[in-house]
Amino acid sequence: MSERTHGRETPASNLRPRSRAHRRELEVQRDNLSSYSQRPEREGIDQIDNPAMLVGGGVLALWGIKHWRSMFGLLAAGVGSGLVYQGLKQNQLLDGHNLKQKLLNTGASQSTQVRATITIDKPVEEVYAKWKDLSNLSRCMRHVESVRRIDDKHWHWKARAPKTNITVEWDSEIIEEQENEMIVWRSVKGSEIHNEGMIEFKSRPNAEGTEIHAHIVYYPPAGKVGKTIANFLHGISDQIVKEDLRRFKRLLETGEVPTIEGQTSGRRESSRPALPPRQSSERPRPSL
Amino acid sequence: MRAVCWMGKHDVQVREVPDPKILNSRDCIIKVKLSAICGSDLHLYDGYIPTMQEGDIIGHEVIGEVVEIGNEVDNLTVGDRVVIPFPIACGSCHYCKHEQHALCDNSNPNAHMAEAAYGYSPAGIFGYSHMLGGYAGGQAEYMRVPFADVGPMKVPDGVTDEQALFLSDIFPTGYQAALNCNIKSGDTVAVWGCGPVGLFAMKSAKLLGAERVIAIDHVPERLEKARRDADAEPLHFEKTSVLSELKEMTGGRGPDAVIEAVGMEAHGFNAADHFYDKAKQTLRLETDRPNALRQAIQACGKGGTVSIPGVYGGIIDKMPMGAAFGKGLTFKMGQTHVQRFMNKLMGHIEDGDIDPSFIISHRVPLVEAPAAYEMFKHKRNNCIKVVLHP
Ligand SMILES: [Zn+2]
Ligand SMILES: [Zn+2]
Repeated sequence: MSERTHGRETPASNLRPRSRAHRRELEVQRDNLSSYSQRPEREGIDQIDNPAMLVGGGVLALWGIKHWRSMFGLLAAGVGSGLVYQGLKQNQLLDGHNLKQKLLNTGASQSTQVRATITIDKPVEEVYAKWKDLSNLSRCMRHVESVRRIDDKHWHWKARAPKTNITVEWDSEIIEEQENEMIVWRSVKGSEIHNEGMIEFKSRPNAEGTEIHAHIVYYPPAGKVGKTIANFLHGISDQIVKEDLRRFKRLLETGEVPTIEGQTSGRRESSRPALPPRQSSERPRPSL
Repeated sequence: MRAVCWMGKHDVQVREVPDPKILNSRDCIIKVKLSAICGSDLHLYDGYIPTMQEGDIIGHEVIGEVVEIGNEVDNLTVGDRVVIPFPIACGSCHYCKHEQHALCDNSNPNAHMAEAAYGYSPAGIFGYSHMLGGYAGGQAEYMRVPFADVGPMKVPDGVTDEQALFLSDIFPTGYQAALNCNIKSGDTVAVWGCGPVGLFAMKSAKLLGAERVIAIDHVPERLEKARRDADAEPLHFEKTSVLSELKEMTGGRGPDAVIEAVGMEAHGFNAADHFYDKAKQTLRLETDRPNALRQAIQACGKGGTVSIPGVYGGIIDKMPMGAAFGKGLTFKMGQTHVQRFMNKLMGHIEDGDIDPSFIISHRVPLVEAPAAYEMFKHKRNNCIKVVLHP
C-alpha cells in the first residue's frame, strides 16, 4: 500500500573530488541540484534560490539521509516547498497519472518520497469532504497535537515526534484544489520542515468506493537545520503514512478507529494467578 | 475476573485479571455463559501461531449475556443472550458488504503485522494472536465485543446455550467447508479429520445433499462417532491404504470433493513425509505440517474440489501440485464468514435438523482449563470438545 524511495545516496567523503571522473560526477550532481533554481515562483523556499545553498543543502542531505529512514506522515502533507507543484504546472502534468511519475523523478538526488494509497468504501464526495474537515484529519494522525485553521487556504500544524517531547510547527498552504479530485499543499516560508504533497481522490468503477493516493516529497532542511528537526525526523516511522490513511478509512467506514488499547489482559504486572476453585474441583469427566 | 491466559508454549493459566471495559462506542460487554476450547486453540497452545504475547486471554467460541452496551449499539439490550462469531467484522467495508466477514478490512488494529506476513490483512479474531488483532478472548467470565451491532446474534428461547454455542465457529466452519465442495446430489465427499470441524463438515455435507461421506482418522472413538453421529463410512488411515481404499469405495473414480479438517499439525497419514515435516517444523524450516492435505489432494477425483477449513499459519512445502494440476482440481479455503451463515444454521437448529451439542465430550469449570487443554491435546478420555463453565 505504501512505498518509499530514497534519493540517490552519496557518502559524505564523495564531496571532495578524488579523480577527474569523480569531479565530473560531482558537477553533474550539483547541476541537478541547481536546476531547481531555474524554476519560477518558488516563494515557498527562497533559501534555495542560491545554488551554493543548494549544494549546502545537499551536504546536509547526505549527512541527514540516514536519519530520514522514517518520516512524518500525512500530517506533514500540509507542508511543502512547491517545487513539485511548480514543476508540474510548468510541464502541464497536473493530472493524476503523470503526477506520480513526475514526483518520482523530481529531486532525485536530495528528496525523500512517500507514496501511500487506500480504498475507502464511500462515495468520493463524502471522502473529499471528510478529508477537508480538519477535525477528522487530526483524529487520524496520531502524532498531530493540534491543527488550527488560519483561513480557507492556510493551516497551522503542531506535531510531536513519537516517544519524545520534540515538537515541530509549521504553516501549510493549499496551492491547488480541484473538488473531489485533488488537493496540493506546500509549506510556507519559515516552516521547520519543508515538503509538499498531493492527495488524489479517484472514484472506483461501479461506484465501489474511492481510492486515495497520497504523494509526498520531503526535502532536507536547507536553511536553519537544528538538531531538533533531525531528531524529530529520526523518530518517525515509515509506517506512519500508511497507518494515518488506514485510520482515516476506518473512521469513515465504521465511525470509529478499532483498537485494543486499554483492554484487559493477564500480563504479570496487572494480574495474578486465580484462587483455587471454591468447591472441590471435579476432574474433567467424559460425557460421551 | 478470571480468564484463561496464554503464558507461553504449553502453558495456559487461569488468572485474576481486570474486568473488560467498553473502549469504543460500538462495543458491548458480555457475561460469558459458556466458552469452548477449539482445535485451533491447540495451535496456540503448541506455540505455532506467531505474535502471541504472555498474558493474552484466549478463546473464541463464546455465548453470553449482554451486560453493558456502547452508545452506538442500538440493536441489543442488556440481558440479551447472544452467541458471538469468532471473526470480528465491521459490517460496512467492501468485504463485509459482500458477506466475506472473515476478510473485514477494518477490524484488525494490527493489520500491518498481517500485511507483513500475508500481503493483506484478514479480520481480527478473538484471542488469536496480535497479528490477528490481539483482542482478548472469551475463555473468561466477561468479554468485550467490538462492532457489537454486527456480530452477536440473539439466541431464540427454544435453543439452549449448548446448542447455540457452536454457531460461534465450528458449525459454520464445517458448513462452509461443505458448501465450498459445491455438492451435487449423488456426490461422495471424503473428510480428513473426525474432530469437531470434520464432524460438522460431514453433517453439513449430508444436509447439502451428499450421497456418501467417508471419514478418515486414526482415533477409533472418533471414527465411531463419525459413523454413529454423522452417518459417515469410517476409514482408519493406519490400518488401510487410504488412496486405494477410496478408489475401491468409489468404483475407481475417487471422491468428488475432499475436505481437509486437520490443519497445520497433522499426524502421520504417511510415515515418510510425516517424519520429514515434523523435523522441518521442529527446526522452524516449515511452519505447518501438511500431510493430511497432501493425501487429500492425491485422493481427490478428477475435476474435484479440495476444501480446506483446517488452519494454516505459515509455509508448507512438497505440495503435490502436479496432481492438483493434472486432475484440474479446485481449491477453496480460508477462515469462516460466520456471520453469513448464522441465521440459516440457527434455523436448522430450531427445526431440529441438527443438534450441535452432540459434539460436546467434556463440561468443566473455567478454572480447570489448563488440565482440559492438556487432555484435549492428547485426546485423552475420548476428548472431542471441551466446554468451559465460568
Ligand atoms: Zn474455533
Ligand atoms: Zn468489515
